[in-house]
Amino acid sequence: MKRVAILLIFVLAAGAALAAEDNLNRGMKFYKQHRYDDAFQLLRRDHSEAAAGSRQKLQLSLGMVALRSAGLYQQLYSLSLRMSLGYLTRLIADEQQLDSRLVKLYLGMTLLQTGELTESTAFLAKFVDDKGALEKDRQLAGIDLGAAYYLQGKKDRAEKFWSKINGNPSDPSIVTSLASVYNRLGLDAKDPVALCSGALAQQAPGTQPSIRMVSDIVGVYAGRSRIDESLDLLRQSDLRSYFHEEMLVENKVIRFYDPMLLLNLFHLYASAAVAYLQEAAGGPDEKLAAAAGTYLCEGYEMTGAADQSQQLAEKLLAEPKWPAWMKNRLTIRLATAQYLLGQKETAESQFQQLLQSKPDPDLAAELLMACCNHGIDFPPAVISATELAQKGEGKAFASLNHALGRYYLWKKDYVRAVVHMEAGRDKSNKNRIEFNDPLMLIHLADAYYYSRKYSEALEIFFEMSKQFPAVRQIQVAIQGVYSMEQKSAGDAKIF
Amino acid sequence: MKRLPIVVTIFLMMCCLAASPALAGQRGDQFPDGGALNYGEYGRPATLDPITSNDMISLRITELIFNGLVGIDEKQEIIPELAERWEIEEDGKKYTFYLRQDVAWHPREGEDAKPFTADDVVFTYDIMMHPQTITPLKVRYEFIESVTKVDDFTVTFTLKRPILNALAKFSFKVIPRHGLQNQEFLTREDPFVQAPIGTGPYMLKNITADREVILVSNENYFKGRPHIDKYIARPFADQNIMGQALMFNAIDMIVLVNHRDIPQLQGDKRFVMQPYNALSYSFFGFNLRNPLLVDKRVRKAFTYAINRQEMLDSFFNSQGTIISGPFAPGSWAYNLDVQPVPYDPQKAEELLTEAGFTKNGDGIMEKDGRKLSLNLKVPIAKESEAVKRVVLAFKNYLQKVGVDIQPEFQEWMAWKEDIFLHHDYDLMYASWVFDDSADISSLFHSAEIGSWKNNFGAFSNPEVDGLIVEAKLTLDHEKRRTINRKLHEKIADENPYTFLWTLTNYAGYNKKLRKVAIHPYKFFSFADEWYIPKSEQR
Repeated sequence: MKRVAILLIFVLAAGAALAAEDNLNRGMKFYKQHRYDDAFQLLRRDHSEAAAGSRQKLQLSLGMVALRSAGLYQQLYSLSLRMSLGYLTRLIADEQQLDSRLVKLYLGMTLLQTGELTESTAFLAKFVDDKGALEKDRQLAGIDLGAAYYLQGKKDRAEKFWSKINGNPSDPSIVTSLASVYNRLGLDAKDPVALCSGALAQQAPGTQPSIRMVSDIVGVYAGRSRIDESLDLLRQSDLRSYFHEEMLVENKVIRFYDPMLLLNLFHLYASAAVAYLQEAAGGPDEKLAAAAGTYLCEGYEMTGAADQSQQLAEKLLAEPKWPAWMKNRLTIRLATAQYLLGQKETAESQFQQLLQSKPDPDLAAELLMACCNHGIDFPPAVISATELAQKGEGKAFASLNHALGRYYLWKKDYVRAVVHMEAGRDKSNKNRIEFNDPLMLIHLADAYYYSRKYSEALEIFFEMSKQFPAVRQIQVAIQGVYSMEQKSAGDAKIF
Repeated sequence: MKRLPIVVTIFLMMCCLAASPALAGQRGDQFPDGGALNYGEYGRPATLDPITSNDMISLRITELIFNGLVGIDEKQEIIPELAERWEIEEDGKKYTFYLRQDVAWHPREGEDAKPFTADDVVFTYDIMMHPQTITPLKVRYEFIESVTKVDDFTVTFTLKRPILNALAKFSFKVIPRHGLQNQEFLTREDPFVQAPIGTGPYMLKNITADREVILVSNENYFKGRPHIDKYIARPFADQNIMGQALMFNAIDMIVLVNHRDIPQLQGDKRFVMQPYNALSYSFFGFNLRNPLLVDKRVRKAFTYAINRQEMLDSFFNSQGTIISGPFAPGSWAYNLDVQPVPYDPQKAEELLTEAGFTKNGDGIMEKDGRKLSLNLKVPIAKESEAVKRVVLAFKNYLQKVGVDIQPEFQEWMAWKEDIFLHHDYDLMYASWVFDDSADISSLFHSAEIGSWKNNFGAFSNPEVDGLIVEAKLTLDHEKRRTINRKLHEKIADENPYTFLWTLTNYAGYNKKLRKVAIHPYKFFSFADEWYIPKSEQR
């Protein structure tokens, strides 16, 4: 994966003598440093005004950056969901927290996202019935309760809830939340985009939309080619903001966050990646178009369009002129798509062929990572990666160790997960994303969290928050769990 | 007392570790015994007992020599140690510990080993809480009302009030009643602090002329004989030499790898690098007994005057994180909303002017005829190249805003006496390391001002005191979190320290050491399970 990126950067940088291409080079430098937000903003600035000659390069670069951002937010969402649930579950079980109303609301909302509909319904229904809660919050609960009913096949009941709220929303954010639910459930006929635009128009002049509104709108706009509007909205927002703050007794405040923000950011960047890469894949330079196609397969895979990924990979593989590294990469994408489309034997045979070709560490890593990301249990990939990893150390094996760590994380063998990822970590700059793939750091933090080494996980996110402020919700959830789980005597020593 | 029938009773039988003659002295696992572990320390321990010690070097050694009533395992679970089980009354105010009956104290030379009993537990508590005992522990155990020996192997602690995580606090190390010269209190003059005996996996053999501390395995350790025969703590005044010693196999482990050595060690297949100890930070501390430093604007001016990021980047290769207050960023108590004070020398001068200082002809700030000329005491144990540069940079930054700093590097013990005992300093440089509890009460509560106490700078603020007490009293985790966020904000504003950074902390060790698990704070908690394969023992 790393080699492919480096080669592409070489392609992109070639002939960069023109001043107009300086930003492209700077953007790709940010990309190499994993500063995806910085890269994306810089490249996007030039995109609309780019001359035809450099436009395709920009599109490819933007696509690559957005794809990596999407991959990050996808993992962050998965992690935040589990950690938020861990935190809220502990809160609700703690009798000291009985005074918190909002814990029920947020637990209900989070359980809805994890698909635990019965439990979610119970919490949300209780909150909706709570006359002491604010009307706005009860409406919020009602929207998700409607979603829970809808997903349980009780569509009439869902509609009843929604129409009651839609008839008398207490706040513009209620409208966007409703739009968000319609969007997630694929109820396009209810025109979630119009609901969002209407709510934004209602916003008092000079006031910023709340973080919940921003999150909901971004989620709705993401899949509808309204990428620029979403990005503008995000730029004006503080993604560290809490969604709710509950002041209880004196000196007791609980802050609540919604993991959905991270899912919406994933959707936004995944949509942007596909859009830019499609443009680049259709551009005049066939090498750039093929490179874009390779990434686009991954983008399709990420957005659930495995059939499109398969078709494109097959089309590109049919062309004999591409170098072996590109073909290998495309084969991974093809096999992954085949697996996702139920062609398990064909997929495994493709994987097997790649393994027999004695893959280098990066290729073995990419293969194993694809398996882990899609829950493909293919033991030869692990065996091959393990054998390769034993042959070396250092930077050249970093992605392979990451993939093995990711595999053991998936298998809940946290000790081995940590060992592998630590082996690939740049220890001189252990938490800095410029020197370590942030995806690896996220997985490592995940493994540390389940190993109950919370401080190691928190250190990672503390540094990561400088480039990805939306991780604040993860930091707060881990802090909450850590404060409850830690058992120490209260010691401090000088050194 | 109304004893409730198993209301909150925890029975944790240590089946595999249970006392039986067959197992005594053997671990019952397949790993080999033998070999020695030489580890490098960045100084020598001041004392070797768990009561008077207040530095990390001592803590690591006491972890090998002593046990608590309970321990805390790798998964943050409370496990039995000297107590094999316990009962907690429903109201959370009475803890009864049933002690193991197979534990013996390390024997003094020429003497038989004496049994560990409830008398030792009561004695330890009494010694710890005696007003004349020199210890930072008192503040942690003031929640205990009394301790009673029920019989030779049963003790009951009555609490003044229930507290959060009370059980974990019974991990304090127990010392032998027969071991101390003075039976009432413990000071650093008692021979015990340099020649302790405990119940732990390792026994102190001797301290060499080179100040190496040599520990040998306790063949009769109640959890089974530890695998490695000998632990040798070797002090290094120069961290660069310590790194070289590891590279040339003169030592097997470094407890804290010098930042300059990280890239080299990372690239060497012979070694393992393990992160730990995330809850630490470095700081410049102010002595608030000096009238020039009483005004918080003056203290804040110092923080604005220095470019911490530049220092971190230049002297530690950016291997750390700038912090904004009294908790480490890896702590659950860190207030993420409080941002570090930016580098702003102009603001620093403005604050000093506001506080009544003016520059004299030499460019030094003065107030009421007193120059802002201050000493800065730095322990020699921290004398790495990087620290020297930090101190020099600090001096230079402050010179630019009209503050004269005179650094003094001191031998570790002399430094500790100046800071903790005599309070003879203006500014000091050091680092704190915390366990997971994020308890800063001993650092900033006004009751902790005094000889050998951790609030050496005499910081006193009624609001901070109130919040610290409230945090201790509450049984509510979320309330405690909120209070800690407030404490962070308040202390950052009061600026009793110029908070610097949390550095990247790694232990480095030779791969011949196996089954190595490092406690993030105490380090050697699981060292009795480490081993060296026969083929690699020397």
